[in-house]
Amino acid sequence: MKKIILSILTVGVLTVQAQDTLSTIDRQALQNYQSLKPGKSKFMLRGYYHTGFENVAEGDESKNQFNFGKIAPILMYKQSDRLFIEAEFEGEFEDGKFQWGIEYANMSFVLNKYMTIRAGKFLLPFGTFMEKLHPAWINRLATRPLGFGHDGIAPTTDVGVELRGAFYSGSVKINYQAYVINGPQLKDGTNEPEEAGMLKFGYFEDNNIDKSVGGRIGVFPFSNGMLELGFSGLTGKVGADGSVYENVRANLYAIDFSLVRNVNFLKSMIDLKGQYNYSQISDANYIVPDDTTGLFYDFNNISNSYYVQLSIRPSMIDNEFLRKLELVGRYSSLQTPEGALWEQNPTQTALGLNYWFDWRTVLKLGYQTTDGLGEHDAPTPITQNMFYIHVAMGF
Amino acid sequence: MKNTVLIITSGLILSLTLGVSQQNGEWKAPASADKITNPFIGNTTATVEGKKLYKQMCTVCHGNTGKGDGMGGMSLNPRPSNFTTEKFQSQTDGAIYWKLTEGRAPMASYRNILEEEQRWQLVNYMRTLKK
Amino acid sequence: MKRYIIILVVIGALVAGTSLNSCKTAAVISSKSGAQIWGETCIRCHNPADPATFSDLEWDVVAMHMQVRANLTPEETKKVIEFLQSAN
Repeated sequence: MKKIILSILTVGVLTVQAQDTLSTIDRQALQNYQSLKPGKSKFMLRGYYHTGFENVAEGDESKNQFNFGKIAPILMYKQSDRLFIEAEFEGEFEDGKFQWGIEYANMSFVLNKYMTIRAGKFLLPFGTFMEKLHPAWINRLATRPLGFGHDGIAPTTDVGVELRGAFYSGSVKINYQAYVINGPQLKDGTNEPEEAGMLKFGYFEDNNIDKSVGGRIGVFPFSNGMLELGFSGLTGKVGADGSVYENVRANLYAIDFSLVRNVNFLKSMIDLKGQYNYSQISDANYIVPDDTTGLFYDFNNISNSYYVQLSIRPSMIDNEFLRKLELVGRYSSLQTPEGALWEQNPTQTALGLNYWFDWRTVLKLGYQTTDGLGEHDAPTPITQNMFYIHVAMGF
Repeated sequence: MKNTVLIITSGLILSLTLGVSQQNGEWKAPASADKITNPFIGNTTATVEGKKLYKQMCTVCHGNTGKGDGMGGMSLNPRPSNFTTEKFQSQTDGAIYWKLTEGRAPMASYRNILEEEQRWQLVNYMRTLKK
Repeated sequence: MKRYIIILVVIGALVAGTSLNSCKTAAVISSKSGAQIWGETCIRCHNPADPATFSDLEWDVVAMHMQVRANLTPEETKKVIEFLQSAN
C-alpha cells in the first residue's frame, strides 16, 4: 500500500515538475518572441549592380573591354508609418578612378491619403525614364536612350521640396508630382566654350535667387492600369545673377506613355514605352572661343529628343526556357540647336535579347547603332556600333 | 570577337543551368486534406461566386483560363499551377482547399484573407477550368 | 506666361488633392485584391516581385519605398503588403 501511495505521489510530483518545466519553456519562448518583436522603425539595404562586356566600333577605332558598370546601394529607413528616408549611392569608375556619388537622398512624410511631401535630393519626375526606368535591373537595355544621361537634355536630379501623390476619380487614377528646386544652370561658355548654351543638371551651389518649378501629371484612363499617359514641365531662370545671362530662362516639357499588357495571340506580354523631351532656352549671345576681338554668336536654343521602346516576353508559352527570354527594340533621336557648338542630330536603333533568371536578375545581349551628326565638341558625322553583354541584378 | 562569342555561350549555358536548378519539389497536400468534404458540391450559386473571386484573386497569376499564364506569375518560381491539367484536376476538393488555405511561397495563404466559404466557392469554380 | 500655367497646374493639383474626400472611387477599383494590385502595378516598371523574396518586415519597408516612388495610394499599399506577407 505504502508503495502504491509513494508511486502515485512520485508520479504526481513528476507531473507537476513537468508542467512547471513546460510553462518555463513557454514563458521563455514568449520572452524571446517579445524581445524580437519589431519596433516601428525598419531598415533595409537594397540596390542594384550591373557589369558587362562591350565592343564599341566607331570609324576605324574599335574598343573591346569589360566594363565595371555601376554599384548602387540604396539605404531605406522606415522611421514610422508616415516618415521614410532613403538614399541611393552610386559607385563607378570615372577616368580610371573609382568614385562614389549620391544619386538621391531624401525624406518623405505622408501627409494624408492623397499627399506625400518630400525634401532633399530627388530624381526629377520629368517623364518616366529618369525617375522610374533607368536602374539597370529595370531598363530593358544596357544603355540609355539619346537625350538622357551625360550631356542629355532631360533633367536628372536636383535639391528641393516636392509634393506627390495619387487619387482616383471614378475608375481613373491620377498621380501627380509638383516641386520647387534650385533648378538647372546655364553653361555660359566660361569654362567649356564648346558647351555654351547647354544646361547642367544635378546639385550645385545655386547661381541665382530664382527657384525652378515643375511637375508631372500621370493619368491611367483604364481601370486595369495598363495604360499611363503623362505630361511634365519644368521652368526657371538658368543664368547667373549679375551676369549678362541673368534673364535667360529654360522651359522644358515632356510627354510620356506606357502600355503593358498580355497579348493572347502572341502568347506574350508586351511593354510599349516612350518619352518625348523638349527644351527651350532663351536666346543669348555667347563668346566665340579662341577669338580675341570679342565676337559673339547666337542660335535658336531649342532641343528635343524622344524614344520609343517595345519589349515582348513570351510569358504565356509552356517552354520554361523561352518564357524567360525577352526581345527588346528601341528607337531614339536627339536634336540639339543648329549653330551651337554642341550641335548633334543622331538617331539610334537598339536591339536586345534578355534572359531573366528571376524577377530582378537579367542577362542582356544587345546591339545598337547610332548615326548622324554627333560628339558635341566637334559636330561631325558619326556612326557608332556597339555590341554588349551585361548582367544586371537588383538586390 | 572570339571572346564575345565565348562569353555569350557561357552566359547562355549558365542561364540554362540556373534556370533548371531553381525548380522546386512537387507540392502535395497531406492525406488528411483528402478527407475534408466540400460543403458546396454541385452548388452552382457557389460556383458563380467562385468565378467572381477567381477574377479578383487568382487571374493575375493563374490567368483568365487557369493555365498559369497570368502576367503576375511571369517571374515566379515555381510557376503558377495550371488548373486545366489532368494532374491538377485529379486532386480531391479537400486537397485543393487545403492548398489555397495554407499556401506555399510564392502562392499566398488565403486562411486569413478569405472566408472558409469563399475558399470552397473557389474550389468549385476551379473545377470548371478543366480542359 | 508659361511659368504661370505651370504654377496654376500645381495649385490645381493641390486643390484637387485636398478636396477629393468627396470624390468616390469606383467599385471596380475598391474591390481589387492585393494580388491584383501587385500584378498590375509593379509590372508597369519591373517584373512583379516574387513574394518569397522578403520577410514580412522587409516587405513593409519595400512597400513604403514603392508607395512614394510609384505614387501608390496608402490603401493600395496596404493591400499589396497584405498579399505579399501572405505569400512569402
